[in-house]
Amino acid sequence: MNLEHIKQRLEQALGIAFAIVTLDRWNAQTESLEEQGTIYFRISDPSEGAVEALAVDAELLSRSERRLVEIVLELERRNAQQHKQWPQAADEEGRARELGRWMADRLEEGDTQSPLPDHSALRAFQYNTCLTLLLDTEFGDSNRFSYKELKRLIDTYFESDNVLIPLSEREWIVLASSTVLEAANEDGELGESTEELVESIALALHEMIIEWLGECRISSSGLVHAPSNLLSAVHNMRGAVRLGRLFHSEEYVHLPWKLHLERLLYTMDDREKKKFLEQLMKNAEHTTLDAEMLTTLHAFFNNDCNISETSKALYIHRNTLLYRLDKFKQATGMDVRNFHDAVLVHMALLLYKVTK
Amino acid sequence: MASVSLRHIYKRYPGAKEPSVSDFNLEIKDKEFIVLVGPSGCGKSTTLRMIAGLEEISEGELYIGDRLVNDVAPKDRDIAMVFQSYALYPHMNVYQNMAFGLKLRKFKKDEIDRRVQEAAKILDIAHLLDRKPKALSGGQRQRVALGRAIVRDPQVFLMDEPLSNLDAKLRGHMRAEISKLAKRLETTVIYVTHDQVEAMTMGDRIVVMNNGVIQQVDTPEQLYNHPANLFVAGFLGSPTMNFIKGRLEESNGVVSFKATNIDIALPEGRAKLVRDKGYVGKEVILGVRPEDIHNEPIFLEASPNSAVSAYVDVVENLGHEIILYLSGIGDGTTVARVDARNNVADGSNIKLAIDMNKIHLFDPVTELTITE
Repeated sequence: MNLEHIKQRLEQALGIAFAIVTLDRWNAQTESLEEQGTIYFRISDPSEGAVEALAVDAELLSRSERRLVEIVLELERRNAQQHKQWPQAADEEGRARELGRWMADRLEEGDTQSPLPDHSALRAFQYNTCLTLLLDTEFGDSNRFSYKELKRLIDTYFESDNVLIPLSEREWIVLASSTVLEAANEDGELGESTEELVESIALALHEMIIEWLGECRISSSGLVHAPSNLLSAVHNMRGAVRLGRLFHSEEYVHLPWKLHLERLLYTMDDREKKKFLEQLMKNAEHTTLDAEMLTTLHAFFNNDCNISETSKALYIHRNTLLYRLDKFKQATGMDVRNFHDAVLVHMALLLYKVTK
Repeated sequence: MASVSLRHIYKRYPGAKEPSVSDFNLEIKDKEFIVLVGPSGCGKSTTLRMIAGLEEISEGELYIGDRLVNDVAPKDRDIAMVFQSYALYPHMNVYQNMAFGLKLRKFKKDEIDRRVQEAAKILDIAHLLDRKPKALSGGQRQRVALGRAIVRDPQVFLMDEPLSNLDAKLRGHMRAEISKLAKRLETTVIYVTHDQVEAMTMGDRIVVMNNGVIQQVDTPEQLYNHPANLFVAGFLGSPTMNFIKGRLEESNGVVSFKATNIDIALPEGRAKLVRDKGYVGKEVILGVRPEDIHNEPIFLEASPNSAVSAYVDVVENLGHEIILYLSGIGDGTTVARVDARNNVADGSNIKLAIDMNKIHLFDPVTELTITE
């Protein structure tokens, strides 16, 4: 446990000074004790003799703050204990599985901030900042595959040695060298953004995986400093897959930066969602949102509300598209060519998918 | 190459009331180019995904060649897929993109090189082998995606709307290229599209689907000229077939179709058919394709029993032909496709005649044809 680091973070959070002290013995069963106007928080185990502690002026700390500091230190101690007991598997797969279990446990506890344990020592953490992807496999029993098979696929795809961490039976984390983004950006006339490059890599990876193993969903957090931010990145990617599965089940690559609106709508409670839809579509007949109309509206929004582009995408004459949009306006009173109505209908379509 | 056999295939998703695909039966012959076509959500892509191994089959049996492949992983089915997205590996050049599948299958380097060079030559992309996908046009990318499939020399090609990301001109060009390629490679192709023009021009046979159910399987010509039901009749053809609701009546041995402003006699062959099937005196739906409504004087003269009058609402002059939107034939709008040399003006009244040997009659309840 990095005591100096913890001290600094507590000082930042509470705006008061702590001191690191060593006490000869610990005369209490509790996590902290108060003596002569100073509160001591124990850091090390009292059974080991002298105890390391953090000391702070008792007048500067409220009761609840004191309790919170106790909890933080207790969690840190437990974490350090787990790292200490980290069993070192002999092979790469074993180490990856251990790390995967550790990460799954942290995430289960709601911990998205812990740095990776130093002991994990996965060779490829030489990539300080790496391209991070999450594969959520949906294969049936017939498509079971081994760690080695997937590792070979991933390594061949990225043309390098990568880190593959099984998080659960179906979730796999891939850490690839950031140089793949540079390679993808060669030859183009205009430089693409990192997000665009990551998306094209994820889409192609999806196509490759399904041809070999079967259907899967993919998310990415882009470039991540894995040793310190991997848990948080995985948390984000899991969230993106969850939202993607819910709102865009027909798509298979779900990127966190493309799901802002979905994330917002997800937080609405079900009653509010239904109410919003009912109010918006109150004039519409049941048949208004048939498959053809849904496809039309989706294409219209995907083409930035551009009539020509949408009609091209749908292979229909622009007059046919205008007729359909007019029909929708007649039925609902919402004209999607108008920005404000378009925003509302776009939201309603997203909600329609999750409430129908 | 291989045949593909789908036997009583069903796809049911958890929680769905109806199956997405129902009792799908189809025997695809070796080297056949078969097209699955239908509107969005009809089950065509789901069927293809089941063949590919991307969706589990809820019920039924799928054979590729003689092998039952229900429980075989996609990579072991000896198929190659080309998708709408044709997502090329962006960090690899064209050569590496095409070689990727072979490299994974541990082919020898010189064999990989031979296959890639050969496919590149067929697809006319040999000069692009060093380029990255980003430096390619849409059409070139599509060719590379095809190349990636071709080098594998699979038993079956599966293509899911592979041309939908291309513009209209390129789509037309690639349509012909893929047909040519399939013939040259002598391979079995299962091709999914919602575009009836692609279906009609590419398929040896077409499977028309709606609501997860096969509506009809036949050659393009048979489907167009002998649709089994209203859906197939209305789905194929552009502009679509006209449908007019009316009644069949018999007087003095002549069976006529009567509707608003129409009283036209059926030819004896068709009259006998509807008489035998008991449709005289009953409601039916008459289907007539736009090109089977004529306004040439010689045709009008020869067809006094099928003459109709109409008001011209809109004239669309396409140069080589004119599309007329007409009212006064039945209750709705009727569309006719006539020769561009016939001068027709908006807002005029004209005489036309229906080619009664080309009409279709459908039962309004079952929606099945009654003239076949």
